[in-house]
Amino acid sequence: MRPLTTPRTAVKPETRDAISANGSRRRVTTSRKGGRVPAARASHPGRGKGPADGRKGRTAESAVPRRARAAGKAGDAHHAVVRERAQLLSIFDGIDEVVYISDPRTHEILYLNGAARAVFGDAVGKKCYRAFQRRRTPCPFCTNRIIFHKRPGEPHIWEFQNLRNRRWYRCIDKAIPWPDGRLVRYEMALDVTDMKQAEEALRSSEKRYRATIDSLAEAIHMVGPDLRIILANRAFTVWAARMGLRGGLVGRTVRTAFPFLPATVEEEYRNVFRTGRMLRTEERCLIHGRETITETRKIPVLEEGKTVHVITAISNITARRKAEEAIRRSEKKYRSLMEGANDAIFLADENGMLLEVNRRAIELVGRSRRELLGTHITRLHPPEERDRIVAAFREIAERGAGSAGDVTILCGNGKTVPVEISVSAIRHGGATLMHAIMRDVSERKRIEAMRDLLLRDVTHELKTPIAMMKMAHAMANEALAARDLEGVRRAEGIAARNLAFLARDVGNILGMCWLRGGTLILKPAPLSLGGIAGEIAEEMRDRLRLGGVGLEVRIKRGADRITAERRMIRTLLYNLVDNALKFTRRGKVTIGASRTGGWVTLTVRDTGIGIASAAREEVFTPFYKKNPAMQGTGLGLPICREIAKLHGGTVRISSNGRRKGTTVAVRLAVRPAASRRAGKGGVR
Amino acid sequence: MKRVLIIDDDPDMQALYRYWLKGTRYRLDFAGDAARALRMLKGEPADLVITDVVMGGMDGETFVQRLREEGAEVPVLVVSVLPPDALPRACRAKQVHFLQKPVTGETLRATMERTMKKGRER
Repeated sequence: MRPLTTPRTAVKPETRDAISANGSRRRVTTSRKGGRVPAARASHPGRGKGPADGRKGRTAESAVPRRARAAGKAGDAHHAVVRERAQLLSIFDGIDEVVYISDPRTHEILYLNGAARAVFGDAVGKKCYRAFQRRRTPCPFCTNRIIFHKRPGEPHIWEFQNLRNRRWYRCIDKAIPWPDGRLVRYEMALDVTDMKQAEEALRSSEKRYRATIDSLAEAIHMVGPDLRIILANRAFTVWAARMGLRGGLVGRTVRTAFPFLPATVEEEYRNVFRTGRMLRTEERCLIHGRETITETRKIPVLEEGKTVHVITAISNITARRKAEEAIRRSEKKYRSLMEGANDAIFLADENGMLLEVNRRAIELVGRSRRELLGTHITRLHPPEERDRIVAAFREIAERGAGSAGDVTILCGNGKTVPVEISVSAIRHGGATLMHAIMRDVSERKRIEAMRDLLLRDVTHELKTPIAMMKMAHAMANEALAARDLEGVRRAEGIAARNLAFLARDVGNILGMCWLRGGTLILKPAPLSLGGIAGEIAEEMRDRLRLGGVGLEVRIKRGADRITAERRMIRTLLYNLVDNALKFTRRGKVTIGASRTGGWVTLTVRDTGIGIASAAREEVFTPFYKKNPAMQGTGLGLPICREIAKLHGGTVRISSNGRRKGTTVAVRLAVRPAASRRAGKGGVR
Repeated sequence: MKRVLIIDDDPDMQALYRYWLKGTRYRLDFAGDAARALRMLKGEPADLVITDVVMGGMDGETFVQRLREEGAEVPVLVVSVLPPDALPRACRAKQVHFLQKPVTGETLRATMERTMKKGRER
């Protein structure tokens, strides 16, 4: 006997038996060829010529051996056999699976049911190995030896693939008695191809699934409803080993597998099982003394809407988190620097559109952050400067960094502010960002203008008396040539007065340097204020005459003599009188002194233009000149204050109003407390 | 006789002008400040104005600007210790000439002639 197919896989012990029976089958075949005449073969109707009853439309009854039929004719017993056979075959015909009967000795097919005929045609009377396997000789895997000799009477179940139709069958082979008395091979073959393919697909799918899970860098394990780990991938095994978790974790509960986790982890799993929603958590733990940050995602596996498993994916996000934290810290620092900067900072894209501005930029431009962001950077400047700025930015974008020079900012209130711009091009991710720092240079410009003006004024003040002296010299020469003695005398007067101006201005400049330089040591000595006032009046006599202004000296009793540095007190009084004359066109200047206790108040009062209350402190600023055209260096009054301070005194300026004159009062100690040294900001 | 208005707040400088220009064919008028000079010019025009720059009240550059704004085309000679390039506003005005101190009587007289001649040629 032979099966319908060639075996491919042995899925059961019977299958292995079947394979082991193959050799026996050959042996059996050999013995048949050796001349032994099988009983079945002798009794098989239509043997060797192809069964006439194997044709389509014939009943199974026609396949009954002739000898049995002949015997039936012989008696009732025969009829009983025929009936029994007919009943048996009708049962087989009612089976949907392939069923056939063959003679074990001759391999002749005795019967095929309808399902078998539908697959193999009407093969009754043909050799089974030829009809089913298209072989010339019996099949090497024939199971006849098993069912007839090894385990007679027992069914032998095995699976194989028929190479003729490529389908898989599960065969149930058994030796059964045929109604004519002989033992025949019964085989029912169930077509299990679809089931095998489904199983194969499932196995393949599982294999791919496993391969996929194992290939993931994330540590993954699957947890069942009882919170036991039922699966883990390679990355998880590696991760667990790094965590110091020994032994297999599969089969253990999450609490026993991860004892370091808080008890809430069980509640988290239960929540995922209950809600069917993914849960993402972040954990920090120490691994080998180093802080490790992990992100855990508990992903529900749903079947028919119910969570059957939870896949837990653990990612080591330490590097990512630390990088994020570093970026946050860096951004915070950058933001802090940016917001704390005294300079206005603008960040623009490569097209010049503003992306970010700092607090100072908002203050400088006088527009809100909202108004500024998205605005083109050239809109910050007046139209006439925009082309120059675009060209400068373009050049800097190529060079990397540079200065766009001094430009003007157009403020929200319509005013303009001079600024200097430094620009850096930052290349990031293929894009170029322009980082512009703008510094308000209004103050610098003001100081520069003041410096230029001061330089011009000082130059003018020094050059004027020199020029006057030169011109007086030329005049004197002309007068001498013309024997004009009056002209010579006038020229001499001009030269003398201008020499005095020059001496005053140079003296003031040097005096301020000394007073501020900290190198001047006070050497007080008794002096007469009246004496000094007389000297100054004499020195200025010519000037007073020309100006038409009188000078009076009124020193009260007891106020004349003080102990002080004479040279300085003379400079102080000279500057006060000189200052009074500059602002007095008519009337007089009065030098006065009075004593109160240990203090003398020296005053210089004029009948000039007066001084506004707002300017009464400013006039003590070195080089301050309310009217730049006014004669002098602007050092007279500041020097007076320094000298008074040096003597422990003060200077106060007052005025009764416009054109009502000015009084400067210097309070000096009759005797200084101690020797003093001049220095920056006064006495020290 | 040509009228020359001299603006200078320094009596010594005024004395120098008087000395150098005595005996010339000019009639000299003096103003101690620029505002007064503007008023004087409104009352009687001059053939030449000589002005200092650094003065109390209105300075010489502002004076020149105001003079031109008022439509006066009188030639102006700026006499100062400052060089012309330090006086940009005066440089921009028309019919303004410069003479840097110190000057001599001869230079002054020659420059005044040239300045008035150029004014006439216009």
